[in-house]
Amino acid sequence: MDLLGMEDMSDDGEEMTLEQILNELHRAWVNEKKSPTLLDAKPDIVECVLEQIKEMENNIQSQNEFSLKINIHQLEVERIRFVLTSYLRSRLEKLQKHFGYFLRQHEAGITTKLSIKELQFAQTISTDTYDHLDQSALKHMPAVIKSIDLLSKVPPPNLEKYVFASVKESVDNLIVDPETDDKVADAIDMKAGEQYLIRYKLIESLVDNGQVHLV
Amino acid sequence: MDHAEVEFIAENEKIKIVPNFREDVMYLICGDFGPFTPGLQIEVPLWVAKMLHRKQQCQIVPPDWMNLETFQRIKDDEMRSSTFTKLPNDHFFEMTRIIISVAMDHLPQVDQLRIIMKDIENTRSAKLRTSVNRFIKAQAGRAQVDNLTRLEINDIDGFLTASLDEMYQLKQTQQHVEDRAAASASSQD
Repeated sequence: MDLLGMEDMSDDGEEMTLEQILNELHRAWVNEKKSPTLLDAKPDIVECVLEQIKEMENNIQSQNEFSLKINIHQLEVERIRFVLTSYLRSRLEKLQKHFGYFLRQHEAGITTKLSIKELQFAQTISTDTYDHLDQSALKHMPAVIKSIDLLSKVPPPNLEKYVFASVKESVDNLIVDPETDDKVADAIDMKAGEQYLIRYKLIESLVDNGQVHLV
Repeated sequence: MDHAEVEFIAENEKIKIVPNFREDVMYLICGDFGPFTPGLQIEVPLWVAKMLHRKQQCQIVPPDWMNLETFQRIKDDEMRSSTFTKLPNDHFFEMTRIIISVAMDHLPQVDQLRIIMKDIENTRSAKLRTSVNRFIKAQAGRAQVDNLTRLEINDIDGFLTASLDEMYQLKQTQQHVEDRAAASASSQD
């Protein structure tokens, strides 16, 4: 009795097994939790995992008997659902705190960070916040203050935050802060397997392309 | 990330069990496991092992590295070395705790294992405290922290990174003030 066969799912043109997709989700979850800013949205992974969960849940429902096998499948679904919701919630929290920054980033052409729904969410927050400020205060203020540029006033995420990073692929000549009082920037090599405590800004692009994971 | 979430991640590690029931291959989303034959060892994720053990359907086989000699050797290495030694598993502490708690009855010398693990934990934690101290006094911009486990990193993460962030802000402000003073001094010449 096989509740779910193994399938190869396409993701960005590469064949990925379900196990690999789950690993991707886990990695994205930890990275998102530890990063001060939004990482690239992964709509393919989210959609695929959601589909798998729904399919598995339907299979479980249709079984009716309570066997050990069903319990294990159920537990797995709950675990995956936990990771998925925690991942999405972590993103929404950051989006809500810094909606101005991410909307401006999107308008400037960096469109990989927000999924379609997240973009709508951010736009709704933006309009609602402006309307609220307008109704409660701005309306009653002199016209010169009314032209407030809301988006730029929302505090941006703190990219200077220190994070722990684990190197997956070696990186050469990464520009880092000077250690001594020289003010001249240093460059270091990071080898795979090493772990660093470092400012997020210095490794931001490495996290985006997967050479470095946050821990 | 809280402690429970770190343990959650550790529960994805594979571990050997000896089932006492019969079942065909299970096609889980994270992989295929089985078939389950009473008395024959197979590998499953730790969360499956925990559940099966709770229902008294299996015995958990401790990993190869979970014995007194290995633990004692790790402890000696750790006390001798000034840096952090590489532990046999990325989730050393979590797995040891979980296995000790569920396999108490048929794991030999459980208490001694737990004591040695505590010693290893304390040694590493003391080393961590001294190196954090050194790091902050030196006002360094980054640190290499190889061989620290996720659990240990997570324990100091919130507090340490928040403190470092504050220090960085202060340094930046100080730098800014110095630059402006230098600029106005040179413009007066």
